[in-house]
Amino acid sequence: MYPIIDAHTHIEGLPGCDWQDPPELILRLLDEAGIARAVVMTYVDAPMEHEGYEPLAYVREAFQRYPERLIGFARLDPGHAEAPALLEQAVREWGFQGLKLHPFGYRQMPDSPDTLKLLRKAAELGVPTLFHCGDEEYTLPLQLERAAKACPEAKLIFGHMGGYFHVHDAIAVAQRCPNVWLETSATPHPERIREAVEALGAERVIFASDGPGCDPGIELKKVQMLGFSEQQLRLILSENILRLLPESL
Amino acid sequence: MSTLDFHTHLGTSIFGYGQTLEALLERMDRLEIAQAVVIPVQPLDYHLSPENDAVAMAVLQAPQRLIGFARVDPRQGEEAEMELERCIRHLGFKGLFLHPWEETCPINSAPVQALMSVVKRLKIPVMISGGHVRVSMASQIADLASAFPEITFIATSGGQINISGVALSEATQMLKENPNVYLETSGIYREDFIEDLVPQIGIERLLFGSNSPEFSQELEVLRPRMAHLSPSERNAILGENARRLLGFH
Repeated sequence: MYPIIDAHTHIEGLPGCDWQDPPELILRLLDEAGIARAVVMTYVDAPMEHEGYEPLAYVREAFQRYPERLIGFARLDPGHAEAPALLEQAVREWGFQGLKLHPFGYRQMPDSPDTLKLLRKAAELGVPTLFHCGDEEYTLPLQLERAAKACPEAKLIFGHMGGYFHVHDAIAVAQRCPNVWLETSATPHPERIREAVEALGAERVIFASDGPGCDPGIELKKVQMLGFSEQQLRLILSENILRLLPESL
Repeated sequence: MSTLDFHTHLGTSIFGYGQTLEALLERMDRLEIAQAVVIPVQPLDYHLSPENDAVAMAVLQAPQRLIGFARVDPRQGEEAEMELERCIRHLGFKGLFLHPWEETCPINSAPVQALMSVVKRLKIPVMISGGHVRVSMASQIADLASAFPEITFIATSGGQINISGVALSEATQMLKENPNVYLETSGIYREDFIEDLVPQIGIERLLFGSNSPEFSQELEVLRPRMAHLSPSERNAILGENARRLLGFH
């Protein structure tokens, strides 16, 4: 048997944030679903000015408390001049294993100079970048494609693989860009996941839930109900994400 | 076998999806779904009236299992009113379904408002394909619902289909401010949206619907069945609320 890895989940402790999700919540849902480990990140970008709360410290504390279960990704705002240095420190000193970007939140195109600088830093550090890839401007697959092409050395995971209405665009972009992987969370069309596997091979599709908001148990069944072979499931549920993480190198 | 799927479609849609009665019933058997609301698709020739007839024929073939809803295009004015009246009085349909996105007709526009006088007279619920930008966002559904407080509306996907979660608060506000609006669960972003609504608006206005075949019935039925709610709350969403709304008990 292989460990099932959930490549996109959230924890959050920012006072006043609508979504208060301590690490124990996602761990409980992972246990229910039989998922061994999860990539965790906050809902808010670092760095942020908030006395008494530092998102990267919150994530770091979580994966240090649960080192066998949680893998930290640093969610950053590329518009901050210190973002590349912060990523370097997060990876080299604190043990983070990836970068998360949600361009709809910080309102920069995925191929903005600031973003490309950060993507190149991630590539230099040997960590993947998980992009939110949905139905809004700044996050559309065809916009992310420009970043993938401008920075071919960066390994990009398209979280939600295009959301509700842009999955076919995401598959087409991944066909054109070998440095792109598609991630299955929250998209409500299981059949499109099968299409992605047929178009790209199981090596390019990664299971994730976007938990705890989306239930990891339901998201896992969404992938398991598609009739993939054991070898395909092993890649999608475990090996593909592990190969992208620096811990595997 | 008490699950009732409040939202399925029969026929071949111009938008590239479709299913036959046989396929629907076979899947319902497999998933232990006892009953379903069946609704026409928008066909290749844009004539909804024959599609309403086809759905009525399907209901005749499985009267214990299927409940027909009429579909009309509000822009057709008096013709739409007459077709709705025909569907309810002669075909035995139990409600009206409007797809503001596929019919390109904003849900709070004059043609829809005009149709509501017939709806009021017929005393039927109105299901709205919700969450589509420009035509059926939660605020637009709320606008219609507050103008017609005596009519029961059902917003599919809770009136929000956005994978960033930016439409969640508006959908919650729509449900809180308009006790005549029900939520249907298909394709909903974040299962915890459903769970978190229960203490805010109660359980009575939540309805399981799959929006099959556009969404996957196999996946959609997992959302209520695996929800972190009590067994009685899950049963309410899975069928009891629907049967009460439709006057079955």
